[in-house]
Amino acid sequence: MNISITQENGTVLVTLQGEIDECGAEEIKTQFREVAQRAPHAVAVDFAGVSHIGSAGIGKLLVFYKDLAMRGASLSLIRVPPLLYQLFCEMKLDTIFAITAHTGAPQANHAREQTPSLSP
Amino acid sequence: MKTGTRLSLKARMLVAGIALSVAPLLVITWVIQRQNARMTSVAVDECRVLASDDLDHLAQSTVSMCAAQQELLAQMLENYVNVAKSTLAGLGGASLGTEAVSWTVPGQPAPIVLPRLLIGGRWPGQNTDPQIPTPLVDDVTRQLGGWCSLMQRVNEQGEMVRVATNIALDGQRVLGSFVAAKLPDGTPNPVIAAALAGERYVGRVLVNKDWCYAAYEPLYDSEKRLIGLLGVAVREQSVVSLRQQILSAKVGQTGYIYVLDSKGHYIVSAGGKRDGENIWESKDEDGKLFIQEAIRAARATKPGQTAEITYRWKNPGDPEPRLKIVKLAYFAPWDWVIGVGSYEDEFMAAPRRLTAIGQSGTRTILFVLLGATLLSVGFWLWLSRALSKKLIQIAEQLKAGSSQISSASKMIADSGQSVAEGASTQASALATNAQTLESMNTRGHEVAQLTRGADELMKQNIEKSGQSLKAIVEMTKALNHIAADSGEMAKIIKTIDEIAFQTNILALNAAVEAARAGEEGRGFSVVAEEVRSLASRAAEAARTTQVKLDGNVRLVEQAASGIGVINESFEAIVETATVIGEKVRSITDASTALANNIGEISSSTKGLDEVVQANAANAEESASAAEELSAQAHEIAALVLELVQVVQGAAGRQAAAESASHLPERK
Repeated sequence: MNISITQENGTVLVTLQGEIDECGAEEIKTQFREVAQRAPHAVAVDFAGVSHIGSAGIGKLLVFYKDLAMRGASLSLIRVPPLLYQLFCEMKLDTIFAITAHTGAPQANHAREQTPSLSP
Repeated sequence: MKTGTRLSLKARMLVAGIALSVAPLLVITWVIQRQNARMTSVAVDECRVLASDDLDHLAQSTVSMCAAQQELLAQMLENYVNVAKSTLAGLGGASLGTEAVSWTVPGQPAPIVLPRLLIGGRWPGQNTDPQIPTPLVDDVTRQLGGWCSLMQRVNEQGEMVRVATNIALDGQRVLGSFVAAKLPDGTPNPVIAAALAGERYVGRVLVNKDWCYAAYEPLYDSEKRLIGLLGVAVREQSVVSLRQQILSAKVGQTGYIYVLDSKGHYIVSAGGKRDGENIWESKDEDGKLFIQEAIRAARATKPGQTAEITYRWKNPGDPEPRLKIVKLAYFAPWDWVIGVGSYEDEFMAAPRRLTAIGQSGTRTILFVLLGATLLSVGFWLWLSRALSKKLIQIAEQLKAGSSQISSASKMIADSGQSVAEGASTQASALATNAQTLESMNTRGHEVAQLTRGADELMKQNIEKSGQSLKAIVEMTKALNHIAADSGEMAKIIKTIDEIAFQTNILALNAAVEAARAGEEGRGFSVVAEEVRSLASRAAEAARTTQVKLDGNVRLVEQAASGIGVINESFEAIVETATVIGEKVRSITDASTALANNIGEISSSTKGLDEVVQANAANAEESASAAEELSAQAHEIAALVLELVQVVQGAAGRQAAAESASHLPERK
């Protein structure tokens, strides 16, 4: 699980790579809190490198959204792989924050998910 | 099991061994005997053939020698007559004179008168004295030897009379001999026939009872008329070398070559001892006129052929007559019957020696056979004893082995039965286990199904949690907005209160002024009062509103505080729920894996059950095989019994039977 954070003006870009299982969820939770404390105007999370996300990770996303929303900042998920995008839509997360599907070819080493699932 | 065997193995081996050892020798002996007999027979046949060929060859060789000699004599006589003819020509030739001369011819009734036969124009006279030379005949014989005669033609038949010769008999020249035109048997005299034909005759003639070889040359006068013959002759005895060769010829040990004429006279006898003797009437031991038979057989042969006769003959000193084989050939020019004879037993010496050698070999083989038989008896006696001893040892070991096999097979059978029973119990337990595992498998799948439902619930939970968070956020925002609006409302209320206060002041001022104005100001005073009242009421309302607003603000603050608590709690709930969802998912996967594993275990248990069933079957089969093994052990024991009986004979049967009774009983 790799997390990189960049900031340009008031916009923070969080790039995630790998599988977000229970341990990964704890890692992004920590990083999300740090990002929230920066009081950004907007935060975009790049999911292009994410091959899997479990329910714990989604929970962390929701909390991150809440933290940002409470501070008046916006959260958007960008370049979300199709399977994850479908999963997020099923959970109606797209009604909570903006989600942009990734139209490009998925990365070969992160393409093992076949069905939308919360499973690891 | 055979019980009728009486002979022990040792005895049978002894008999069989001796038979096997001696039988080949007997066969070899028989074969050698047979071969010897055949060889002797072949040798006899071959010797007979060889002897026959040898006799035949000798007869033919003798004939060939005669032919060669005859040719030589003919040539020599040709030479003789040529020399005589030349001598006569040298003397002036022959011619007939004018004066007559009388010749006394033996056998003729009256003297024969003939013209004188002149030699060179001179009449040699009727000279009978050998001491007085007669021209021509003495000249010729002085040069060449032999006899020379001059014949004078007597008549038209060509018959001749000897008028000059050096042939002498009793010291006198033989003159006046008559040569008839026909022989005593009526056939034409070949000498006269040749002379009449104008040809020279060369052949065999009888001169003074002696057979001679003669050549006669016709003599003619000047008018080419036959007037006489010039003849030269030599005696047969002059063929010395041929005679010596015939006499020296050896046939076998005592055989010889002899020559007869067709009348049965010996011409050449054995050792020359009986030459001239007539053996025409000779008979063999069986009374057979074998000489006549030989002459007839010889004369019947054609040139190049031989005839054969056999007869039994007993020489002085012989204990018994012996068979004599004679090969016969006939040399017609000399009327020679050539016999080559030998006794059969002489040329059968080789086969006899061969037979003797064969008999000696047979005796040797019989000795060898006897020795081999003795050696064979000794060897097979030793071998049968050694083998019997070894076989008895093996039988003892087999007996012990069969007993052990029987015991072991019984143990195996018992063990197999126990294993089969254990396997049956195990199979039953496995069936129970399989049932339990099947149930566990079902449960596992049910758990997996349930947890898959939890997964769906988790999705719904997240969805609702998201929506709740969104609502909380919006609510918080709304409360904050309300709080902000409450501040504004307080400001407005304060402004209203200040306006009411100012209005009250103004009303008071107006009332004062109205009071000052009196009546005219009464109305205004009323208004001022009303305004003051309104101001008061406005101020009261503002205060009341402020109180209410303050209450609202407090409520909003309390709500915000509550929402904050809710927010924090809900955040924890969300996190906890999602983590639980994660764990439930893991539980789902674990349950699925467990169900799958249970399924595999169940399958394995089924396979194990089959193995156990197979083991049970195998154990049953092992028990059955052990039973069979036990049966075979008993059969081995029976075979051992039979073996002991075979080895030791009837005597060993009882002891082996007693030993066999110690085997464990078969089930």
